[in-house]
Amino acid sequence: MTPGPSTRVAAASDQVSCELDGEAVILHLGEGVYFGLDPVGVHVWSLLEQERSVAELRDAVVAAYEVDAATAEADLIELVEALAARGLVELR
Amino acid sequence: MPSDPDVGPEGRLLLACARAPLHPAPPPPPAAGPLDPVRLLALAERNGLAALLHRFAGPHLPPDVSEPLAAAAARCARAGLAAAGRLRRLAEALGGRGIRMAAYKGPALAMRAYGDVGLRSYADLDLLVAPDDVPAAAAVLEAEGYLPLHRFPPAAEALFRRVDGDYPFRHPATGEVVELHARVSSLRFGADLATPALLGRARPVRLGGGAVPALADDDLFLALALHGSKHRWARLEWLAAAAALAVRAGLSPERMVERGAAVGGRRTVLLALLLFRDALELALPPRVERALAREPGLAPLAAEARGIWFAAAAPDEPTEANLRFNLRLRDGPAERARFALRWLLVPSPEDWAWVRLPAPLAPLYRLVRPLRLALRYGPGRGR
Repeated sequence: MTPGPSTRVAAASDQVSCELDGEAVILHLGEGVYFGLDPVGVHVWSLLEQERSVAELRDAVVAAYEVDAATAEADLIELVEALAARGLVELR
Repeated sequence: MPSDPDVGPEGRLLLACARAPLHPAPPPPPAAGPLDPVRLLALAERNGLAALLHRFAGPHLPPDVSEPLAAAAARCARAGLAAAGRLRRLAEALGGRGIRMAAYKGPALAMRAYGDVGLRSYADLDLLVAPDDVPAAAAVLEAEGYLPLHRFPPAAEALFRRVDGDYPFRHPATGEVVELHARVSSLRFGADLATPALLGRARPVRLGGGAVPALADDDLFLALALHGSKHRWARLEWLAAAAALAVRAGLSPERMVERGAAVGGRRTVLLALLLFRDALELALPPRVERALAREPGLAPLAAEARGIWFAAAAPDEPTEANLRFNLRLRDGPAERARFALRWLLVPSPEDWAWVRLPAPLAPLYRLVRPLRLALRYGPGRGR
């Protein structure tokens, strides 16, 4: 599934995460694989404690960082795809 | 209120980091002066504070400290995540068999105290189950690949479950240890926290995309106070986590003293609060201050704990020192006599392993224990 602005994103249940040096380290419990997120990714990850659309995430990122909406959305889609490929989020 | 005694710049920095989680916006670490990197790293590891030190002071430290510290914090984070994953899996397996459990210490405490499983280092997972559920819970652990470290004669098992109730298991392939507990604290230490009530008050703690049942905040605090005093509060991080839990959960010190008194652990709770005040600079309500003023015997115990944190080396004979410490912590001569008699007469796994008696002779273990202790600890005996 290719995510778009209306795609809803939720953190998968099969993961745990913690913070390290301002970044997030996520462990997929089934695969035993670690995944790292930069500080912007940490912000997005914290928002995914509840299900949100890509558009909602984009608006939150634009409000928090100096970035235009188009760039933020493109970066978010890339991030969400990477997380989904590793089973760390579910797309609906 | 004593401030930091002569603990050196390394000790002052570690105390500042232990206090940091108590504040929503922690102040920057103090200018520590010239640091001994070897001493600082050794003390941080021994006190379980490497991750907190890295989080709150890492960027302010010279590279010869910050680099190995960053590596230690990364190891701690990965271990914390892996432990949280194991806890999720085991909680699910136990729940799937209809076994009520509550996690305490380990990742559950890391979340309650710091909101982050990567900030505590722990060697094992602690799972509390009802005494009647111990055999079924042990079967679940064995199905998960863990092997029990203790094997008991049948006649001894019932006594052990009632008095001590801690069952360590180790995974032979990974070395991971899980401790199954029928009690949060051995009755030998005098305090009696009823497991069914603790399980009834348990509430979920979130671990990533799931949650596991864990002790309620006030029960967890009592369990930590008992555990800390049992081991002379030998790691500063134990105190930091207990204090962070109390602050985050908004626990009332007066109420905690009352709860401690109700289960036979009033001085145990007062000692924890005294250490909060003197080592972590937490202000206490006047009523608790007055109670502390009436307990002059607690100050030397607090000083002994603080002495361990920054000693040049870990204490050599912790068992004997812990026993003396806990004897002094008991409230009055009658309690001390009861404590001593329990230690002298109630058999433990070491006694059952020392000599195997047939089941009908199991009551004789009450005589075996003093004999074994005399041979081990008596005058002129080797250890």
